[in-house]
Amino acid sequence: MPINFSHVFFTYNPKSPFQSNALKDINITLPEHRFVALVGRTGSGKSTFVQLINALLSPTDGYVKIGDYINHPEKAKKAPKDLSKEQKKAWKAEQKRIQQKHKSKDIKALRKHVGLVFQFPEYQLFEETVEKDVAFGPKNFGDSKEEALKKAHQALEEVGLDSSFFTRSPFDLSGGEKRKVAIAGILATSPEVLIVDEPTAGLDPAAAKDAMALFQKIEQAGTSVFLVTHDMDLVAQYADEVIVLENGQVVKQCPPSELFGQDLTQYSLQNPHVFDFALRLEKRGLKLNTASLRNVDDLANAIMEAKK
Amino acid sequence: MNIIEVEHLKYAYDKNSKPAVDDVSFTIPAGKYVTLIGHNGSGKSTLAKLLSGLITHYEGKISLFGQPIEKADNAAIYALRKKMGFVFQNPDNQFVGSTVRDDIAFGLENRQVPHEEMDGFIHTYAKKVGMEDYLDQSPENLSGGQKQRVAIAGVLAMHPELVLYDEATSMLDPVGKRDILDITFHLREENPNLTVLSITHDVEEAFRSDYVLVLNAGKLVLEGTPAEVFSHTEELKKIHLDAPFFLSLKAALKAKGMEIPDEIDTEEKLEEFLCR
Repeated sequence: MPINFSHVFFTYNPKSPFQSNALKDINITLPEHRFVALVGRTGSGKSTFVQLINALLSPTDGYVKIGDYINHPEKAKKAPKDLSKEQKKAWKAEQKRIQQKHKSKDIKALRKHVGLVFQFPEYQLFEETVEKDVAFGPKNFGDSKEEALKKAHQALEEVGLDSSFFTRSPFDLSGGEKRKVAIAGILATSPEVLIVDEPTAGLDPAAAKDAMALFQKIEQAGTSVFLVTHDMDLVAQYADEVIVLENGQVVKQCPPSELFGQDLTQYSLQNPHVFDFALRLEKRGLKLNTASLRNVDDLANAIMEAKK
Repeated sequence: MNIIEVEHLKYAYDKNSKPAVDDVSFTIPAGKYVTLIGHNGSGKSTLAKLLSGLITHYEGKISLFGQPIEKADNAAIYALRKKMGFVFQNPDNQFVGSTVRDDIAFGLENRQVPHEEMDGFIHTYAKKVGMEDYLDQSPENLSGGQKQRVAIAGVLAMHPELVLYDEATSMLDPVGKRDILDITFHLREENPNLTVLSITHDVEEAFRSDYVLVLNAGKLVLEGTPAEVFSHTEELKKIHLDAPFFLSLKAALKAKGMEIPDEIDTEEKLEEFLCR
């Protein structure tokens, strides 16, 4: 599903003393069927950016096109003063059409295609059994109870929770298991675009690895995955492409190996451990080839190569 | 003196379930930075609850500052608590004040520190954690890492002899995590008598600590210095714990045929060795 940001601005609390411009003139076409990481310091606009993709927020100005759906500003725009009467009329009609769209069923269809997993999604579990919780999404999008349950079971198995979990209460599960249930809830609606906001925060390394492997599998099955994260080690390891947000603007869009391995203080980012180590070796005079550096094993290969 | 002594500690959440903590014994001497690691569900948090007195019915013995807590009366427990500080996992759940200043003051007020002295205390401890410029900020303007730093300042202002971190960095981003660890190591340099027990799944933190305890399925499976503990690569892998970056790199290089002497035991030394 093609996603395109055109002159997108977003302002929190406009025209008040608390006004803050979260996004400023974003123009970007997002890659499809890729594993894309969104990075940037706290407050750089990452969360606002992803909430525009599934229309939880609407831009203050500009628009976001997600497949057939266009996410326009909620407030009708005033016509420019220099228009003729007919032009003004056409402008108003167009604005009205846009406004109605916000209330239409299109937005529901959009959210079926774009799944967003919030940070700490386990806090959103609410049903009495795991399968009911996961089936909520598909049922809400119009599936019969049986169909929804079938999809729920499939999604649960996909995240690695077998049938012994189906009828348990989600509140009796461990932190990592709860998160898996929450992710299954999104997968059950089979979105074309999956956005995950800090999915590994608070998980132990093994559970984090499981979660990332799952997103990679989902991406390889044809879903576009957008990962919002602070963890540069994950970006180096999994992402095909990385988008850097800084101060409400996209300042870089490139493969991870192009971003990492240089001084990143200007973006308030840290290099992944492997690149950091490579950089320190370089400063001492040992230059490594970092073009395909993703993990410790790649780093060891690059060192062996350089020492030859 | 041993700050914490635990003997044959056992606890199950209900009679029929497997014990969450199963026959665990260890001692923590004064002035050490001890990390307790294990994956989710290993019993780490239960152990933290037992040590902090949130769970009171258990089998076995817990002694804090040489005093068995089973035998302690309320006054004794209160005296023990005065010597202990806790920092919990979720930065949002432990910020009690409406500003940084109020938050650090909270504990001091409970201890009835006179108002004239309080401001000085607040400044001193805010400075120790690098938050002196944020005293009048409210929590929503702070990042998770900053909130945890304020929590640490609040704890330190009470002059604890033992600080217990219950996954204090697990919800933070890498920068926040590093800040908290650097601050903690720095505090210990300043005050060598401070004992820290950090319950964590960050193996990098464990690698920098003095002593490591490894918990799996409620049992203590390994303990020792980081070098000793992390030499058990296979056992750790089996219980889903990664090796720290330095050790994984060293192992990968060795596997590819590089000879690295044993005295290369830190990242810095390896860096130097490789560039020789």
